[in-house]
This record gives sequence, C-alpha cells and structure tokens, in this order.
Amino acid sequence: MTSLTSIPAYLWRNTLRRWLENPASPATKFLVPFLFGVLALMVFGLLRGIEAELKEQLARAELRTLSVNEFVQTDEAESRYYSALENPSPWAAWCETADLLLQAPLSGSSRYFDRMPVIGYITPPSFVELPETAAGEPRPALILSSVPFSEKIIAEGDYIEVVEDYRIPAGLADMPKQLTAMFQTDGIALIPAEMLELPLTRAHSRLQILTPRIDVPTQRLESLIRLHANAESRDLRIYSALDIIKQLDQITRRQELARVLLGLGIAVILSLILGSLSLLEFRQELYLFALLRSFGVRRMNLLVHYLLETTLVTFSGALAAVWVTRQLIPYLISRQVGATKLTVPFSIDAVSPEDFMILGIALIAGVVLSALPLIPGLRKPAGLMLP
Amino acid sequence: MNLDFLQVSYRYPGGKEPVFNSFSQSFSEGVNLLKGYSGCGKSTLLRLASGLLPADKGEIRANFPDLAGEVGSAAFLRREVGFVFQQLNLLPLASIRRNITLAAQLAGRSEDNALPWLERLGISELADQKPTKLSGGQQQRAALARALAKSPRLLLLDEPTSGLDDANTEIIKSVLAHDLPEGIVCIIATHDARLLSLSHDILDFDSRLPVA
Repeated sequence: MTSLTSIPAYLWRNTLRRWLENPASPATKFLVPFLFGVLALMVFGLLRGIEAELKEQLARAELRTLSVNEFVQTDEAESRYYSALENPSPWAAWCETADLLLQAPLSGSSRYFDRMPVIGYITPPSFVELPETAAGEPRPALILSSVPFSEKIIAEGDYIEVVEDYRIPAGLADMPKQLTAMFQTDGIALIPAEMLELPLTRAHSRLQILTPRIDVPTQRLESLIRLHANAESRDLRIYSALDIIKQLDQITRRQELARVLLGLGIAVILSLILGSLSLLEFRQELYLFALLRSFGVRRMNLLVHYLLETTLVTFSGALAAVWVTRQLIPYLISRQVGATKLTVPFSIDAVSPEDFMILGIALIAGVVLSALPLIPGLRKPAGLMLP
Repeated sequence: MNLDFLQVSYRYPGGKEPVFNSFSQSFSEGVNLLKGYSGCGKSTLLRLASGLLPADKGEIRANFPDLAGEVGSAAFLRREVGFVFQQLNLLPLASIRRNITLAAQLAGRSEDNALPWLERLGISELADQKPTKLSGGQQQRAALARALAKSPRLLLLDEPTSGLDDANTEIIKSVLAHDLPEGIVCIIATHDARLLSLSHDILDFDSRLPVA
C-alpha cells in the first residue's frame, strides 16, 4: 500500500465499522434517496407515459382531421337517416373530404370476432380501400387490424352476420388509422347503409370524419360546426388533434414544473436529512479526523471521503429505486388491478436520460449541501480536539 | 537546526487568561526538556510547536534546511513532525505494524527503516496486535515507534513515561539517549524526574513568571 491508498483504506475500514455498529445511519442514507427516487421516477414515468400515449394518438389522428360524433334520438332516427342520404352534412362545402358513417345499434360477428361495431356508409369512405365485386362495385368489408396480412388474402368467402342467420358476404380490408383512433377495436364491419336501412332508421350514431379545405384552418372549421350545431340545438362532440396538442403542451409544462420542483425538493430534503445525520456521525468521528490531521492528512481528503461515502450510499438507494420502479411497481399494479399489463400509462422505459440526470444532480446537490455542516468542525484546530 | 518561538501568544477559546503571552524561546538540536506543574502549558507548547494549535500572535519558525512546509501546514505535520501524545492516540482499528507503516508512508519514508524501531523498543513480537490488546507501557513504546518511524526532524513527546514502571521507562530513555538520529530537535514535556538526565537544556515552567 502507498500513502495514496493507505489513508483511504483506513477510512473505509472505519466507515465499515461505523456502519456495522450503527446500521440505522447508512440505512437512512439509503432509504431516503430510495423513496425519493421511486417517487420521482413514478411521477416522471407517469408523465412520460401520458406524453407517449398522446403522441401516439397524435400520430394516428391526422393533424388536419376532425371527427364529429352525434347520437341521434330514436324519434328522429328515421328522418335523419333519409336526410343523410340526400344531404350528407351542411359543412361539407368547407371540406376536402367529408365521410359520413352511421353506426347501427347492433353488433356484428364474423369468423374472426363475435362482436364488432356495424357501420353503414352512404358513399364509400375516402380513407379506406373497400374490396370490390367482380363487376368493380364496392362491397361490404370486414376491417381487421389483428389478422395477419397473409390470412387476409385467403379469406374470400368471409361474411358478416348482422342478425341471426342474416349473413352479408364481405371482403377484407386493412384498418385505417381514422377508424383505429375512433373505435379502438380489432374488427369493424363496414356495410353500405341501404343494407342496414331497418336498424339505422330505428336508431343510430352519426360519425363524420372531415378534412378541411387547404384554405380553411382546422380551428375555423371546428367553430363553424359548433355554430351550426348551436343553431340547430344539436349535441355534437368534436374531436381533433388540436385537443391532443393542447394536452401535450400541458403535459410538457407539467413535466418541466415537476422536474424543477422534484429536483429542488429532493436536493433540499436530502441535504437536510443527510446533513443532520452527518453532523451526528461527525461528532463521533471528530477524534479520528483530528488524529489523522495530526499526521498531516489534509482536510480536503477527509471531506472527499465523506462525500464519497455519502454518494455511495445515496446512489445505491437511487439505483435500487430505479430497479424497484422498473421491476416491482408494474408487477404490484398489475396484481392490484388483476390485469396482465398496466392499465395506467406508466412507462419507466420512457423516462429520459434527462430525467435521470435531474435526479442525479438533485442527489449530488443534496450530498454536497449535507457536507456544509461538517466544514466548521474540520476547520477547528486538531490540537483542540485531541486528548 | 532549531525551532524558535518568537513573541508567541496563545489563549484557549473561551479561556480567561492566555497560556502564553509574548513567549520567546529557541529549541536547538538534541533533547530539550520542559518540566513544570500540571496545567502550566507544557502540552500547549508542544501543540503550538507542531502547529496543531495556531498561535494567536507571534511566530513559530522551524529553521530546518529544505523545510517541507510552514509550521502547522499538512506537509509540515506529515514530513517533519513526530508526536507522542499524552493519550498516545494510536489508530484503534490498525495493528501496531500498520500504525507505524501508515505514519512512515505519509511522511514519504521507507517502511524498511520504520519497522526496526519496533525491535529497538522491544515490541516487535507485538507488531500484529491491535493497540487495545497492549499494556500501557507497550502502547507508550508503540506510540514512540510510530513517531520515530517518520524520521522526523521535530520530535515532540508529551509525558512519554507517565505511569510507566522503571523497566519501560529505561527502554524509552535508552532510545532517546542513544538512538535518536543526528540533527533532530526533540522536545519532551515531562514531570518525570527519571528523564531529567537526558538533557541539560531544561525549560523549567515552574520558574516561569506567571503570565499577565
């Protein structure tokens, strides 16, 4: 051993003895950053998860697309059905595409799924490539998202059963993103409205997917639709990517605030707790430190040892927090909700290096600040402390 | 080589009276003895000499060639000073051998020159023992071995034989009389009459005028 290693080796040995004699102190130094780490990572993970989900929604929903949903009351269903055949919507003039779909109050089945929404179209929707008959006419479609492409090719002869024993021959089509965002199911039956006349005249929901003209801003189209709806006292629900963008902005702002507050909070609380603990421990260590200083060991070496010791325990706690958050928390949540996967948009994997860096900086700041109370003791002449 | 106290004043924090007031003294090569009643300031003088206590006023100057650092600096304590405290202050978790090699390493001295001091002081067979396993006399000799292992140019001994029997005292006295390297300034604070024969340079604190 050299003089460079012998003093640190002795100090570490002394540290180990102290930890064994009083395990509560390192345990507290471990647990505090562990608990704060779990808390911070949960918050970061949750926010990142929500952000990722919103971004996914945004990717699915085209930025310029609006969807307008309306439930048509039973006493109006028949008249609204026939008027839709003649005049799809009053705001179609401002749109590049205005696809009107009527959802029937029943569910269909096929050899793939027992239950799927049944949607009628008045004119073939622009966003889906419908299968064609031999004569080139569009035909009913089973729109599937979860069936492999290879299976779709050999699926001629598929059918949609709308009511018992009423089977409509159908071809297969890929699920367009507009419908994925709207229905979030694995299968949809898309059928010409005239084949569903009876159920649709009893009740239906109107679903419109609109793309405004290039000279009409999405926000403008949205307010025009609301004006119409208010004038006709119709209860419309309008969904657009603008809502998602607003939510994303909000999430981003909350993330920034959460990062700052959590980072500051962790640094301050950690420094207070570690500082108090260190002060208590340092009273026991004063004699050893003074003795080593009488050998010519520099104050800085002793301070560095304290910082390394505290950093080691603190970061062990933080690493344990990362491990626990990654492994146990999702498991516990899934057990609690009885699901096989998380039902909350929590994603530790989505936590960015930036978030980990903030946590790391907060811990380092806490460790450094906790050393401040030791400095007056280290500045005291060793001759006053040695017996 | 000598160590000079020049107009040194010192008062303990919170103390009413200064322990030293404009105290001047020169300690030359060889053994210098300080004797006097308990509490007269002998230990304080040793701590001021090493720099473990900083003087309030005045200067303590080590006139050594190629001085490692100012009195009181870490380098001065590491390389120039060997200190035997009254309470010995051996490192409790380290063996006697480790206590000695650690001090030598810090001073930048060879361990080969350090360990023979154990033999000269008659405790080589105890080298691997922890200090707590040793008797008072053995600990006292181990503390002296540690101080000498650094090959210091300033050796400070605070009551090195207090509570020791004649046999142990004789071993320590013999080493101090015959084995100290050339050119070392050794200051011994003692009220043990058995050590007074070590030197004619005796600073008698009993005769020091009470400080104002």
